[in-house]
Amino acid sequence: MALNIGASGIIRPYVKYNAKSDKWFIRAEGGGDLEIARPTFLLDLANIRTGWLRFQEGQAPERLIDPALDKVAPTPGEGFKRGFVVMAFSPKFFGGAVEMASASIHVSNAIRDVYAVFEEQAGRTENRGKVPVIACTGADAMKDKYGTNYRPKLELTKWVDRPAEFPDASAVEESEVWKGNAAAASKPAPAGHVPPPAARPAPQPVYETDF
Amino acid sequence: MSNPFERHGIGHLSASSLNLWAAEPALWIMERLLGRRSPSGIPAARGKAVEAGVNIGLHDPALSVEACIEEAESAFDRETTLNPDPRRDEERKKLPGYVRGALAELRQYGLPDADGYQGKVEIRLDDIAVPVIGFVDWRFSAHGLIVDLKTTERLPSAIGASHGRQGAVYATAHGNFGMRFAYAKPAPAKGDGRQVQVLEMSGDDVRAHLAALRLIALSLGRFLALSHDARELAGLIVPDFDSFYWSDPSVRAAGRDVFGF
Repeated sequence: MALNIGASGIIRPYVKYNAKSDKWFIRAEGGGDLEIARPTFLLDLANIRTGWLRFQEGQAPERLIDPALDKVAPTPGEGFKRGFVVMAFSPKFFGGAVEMASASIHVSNAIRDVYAVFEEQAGRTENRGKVPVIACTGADAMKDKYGTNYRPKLELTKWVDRPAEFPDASAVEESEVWKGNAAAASKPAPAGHVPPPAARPAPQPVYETDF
Repeated sequence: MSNPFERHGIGHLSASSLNLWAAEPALWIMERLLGRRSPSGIPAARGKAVEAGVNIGLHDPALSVEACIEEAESAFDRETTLNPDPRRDEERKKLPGYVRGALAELRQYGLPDADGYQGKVEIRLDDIAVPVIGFVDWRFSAHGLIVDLKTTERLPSAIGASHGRQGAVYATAHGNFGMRFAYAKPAPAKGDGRQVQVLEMSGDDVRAHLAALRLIALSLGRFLALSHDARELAGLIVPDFDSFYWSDPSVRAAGRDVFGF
């Protein structure tokens, strides 16, 4: 199944690729961007989510996530672009597990293509339960009416066991997923969450005469 | 001596030890056989510190959240005072959020058993000569529940294998008690305000993870039986230095010492 993306912005900028400068950044300690080298990292493509993202200067990022990879949510409004949200992991480059989200058409296209390779290899017996290792090996200059932008070259190099610090979990909150009109007004209980036990009545006093 | 564990001075196993053997055996050998222990990481220190703060708040429901946070911060400072990890300051800032969130959820459970915090449990696995031990966070006997707190940046949708094995040990040691993991984030989610997700293991989960623990322990026993010489055993395993297990420079340096590259 191809990903329904291909159209910039990072929702929670833990790691991002700047398609205008061909540079990778992570959030610096204390805020701001810290440039890093081209990374090699685990990418949780099994839990990638697509949807509509809007990133505006001075405003909190907004996103409406598709209910499934093959079900596109309706566009929420002006300024939203198709994009993706996925978790990545590299102690060396990222300092651990980070979120990667983008609505850059070039980054999305790169992710879409590496996802196709992932999808082809994920069913193999030897890859079950494993996570792909993705290496950024360079970038292609893409010239269009907006000038030159870059598309990162992402290669799936191997599969490894999932580290304990990289949970098998979606990068998005359930509340971010489009559920139609009904969902807009409700906050469903998290899947699987077990509420606290009911309070037990205080024990009745026992009198000596009861024995 | 026929017991391969005791031959190497291993009197007991634990879920965390077996998880490490399963995930990165070279590090297990370096730490557990050769005694080259890795320093406690910042995430682990964070978890312990939050537990300490939440624990006093659970045992004294009238205690202010601020006092619980102070306890967590003190515990964190004690644990990390000599830790050069650059994530230290950032993680310390998150402690109040973790403590607030976890307390809001777990105080609803009422008082935990007075002797329950970090209470030692011990179980036996078939064909394994040494016991498997663990230390539970809280036991709520009034509800028949064991609860283990995990601090996380993001709420999981399911209990992972390593936590599942840990929970299987706790649950098995407590008969009919239910086993719950409370996953706490440092701040409520922007969308639905959710900060804590509590997941409970089913009986099937416990049995499956216990069976896995036994197989992992059998594998370890067979490996240890190959030789009584820890250095010789180290020579049989190749570490994956690309793995995050080796990301700490001091651990990597020790690995170089032990494995020669």
